[in-house]
Amino acid sequence: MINAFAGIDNKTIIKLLIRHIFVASFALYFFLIVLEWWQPGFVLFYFNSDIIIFVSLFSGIGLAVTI
Amino acid sequence: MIEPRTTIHKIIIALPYCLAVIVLIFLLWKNYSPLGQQVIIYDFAHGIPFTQGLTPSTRVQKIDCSQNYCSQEIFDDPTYLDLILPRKFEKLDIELIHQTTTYKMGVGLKLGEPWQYEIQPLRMTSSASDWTISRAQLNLKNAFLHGRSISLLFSIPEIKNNQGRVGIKEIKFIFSRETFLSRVKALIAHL
Repeated sequence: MINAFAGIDNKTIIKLLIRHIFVASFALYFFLIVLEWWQPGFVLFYFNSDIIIFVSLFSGIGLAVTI
Repeated sequence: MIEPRTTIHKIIIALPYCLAVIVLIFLLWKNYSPLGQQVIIYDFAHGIPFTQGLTPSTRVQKIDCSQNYCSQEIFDDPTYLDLILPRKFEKLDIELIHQTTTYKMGVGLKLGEPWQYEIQPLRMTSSASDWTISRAQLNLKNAFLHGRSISLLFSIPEIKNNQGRVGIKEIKFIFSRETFLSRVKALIAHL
């Protein structure tokens, strides 16, 4: 069985982490928009979704810089 | 030597997705209140999305935050407060922290148009220095809904005649309904 992470250094792991933060935050933000559209107040009453878009933005920038 | 780092790396990579799932679970929990209770606190210090505050502005002073807390004075009667319901609930317990007063106070729930309110007296439950905690319970089953909002009325009839004022420091709304578990039990019992 091939270990996908074998021999990978920490710098590559950081790149992978930024990529996954970007994917997760982007997908979450999209999902939150759909939830808020479906049930107004579902998200905004309890959670400031701006945090997610900022995380997505900064991780996207980080991803672009590290490529 | 690589194996432990590999597992740790996998855990680190999974973290963003776990956090995203936690956010979704948090929102589902807050919106569906499986424990059957939800509490909304309006302390006048911060705006909350569930209400615009006490109205009309001709019967209440501006919010005062000059002390280490915020409060708002009522000087005319009655005053109103529209509250967005997070979801359907059966009962609403209102807890009001207000300046200690001899005036009789009540809180009402709008049941229909025009201006049909069911008023319950606010009963004092505890008092400390200048502030008193008073409570009342309202049945939401017949509440008049405007979209997702209910309309509440705060009644202090003596305030008008005596040109008095009562400061409010906090309003706590405790919504309650059957818990998810009791609903499931009832459903099973019916099968």
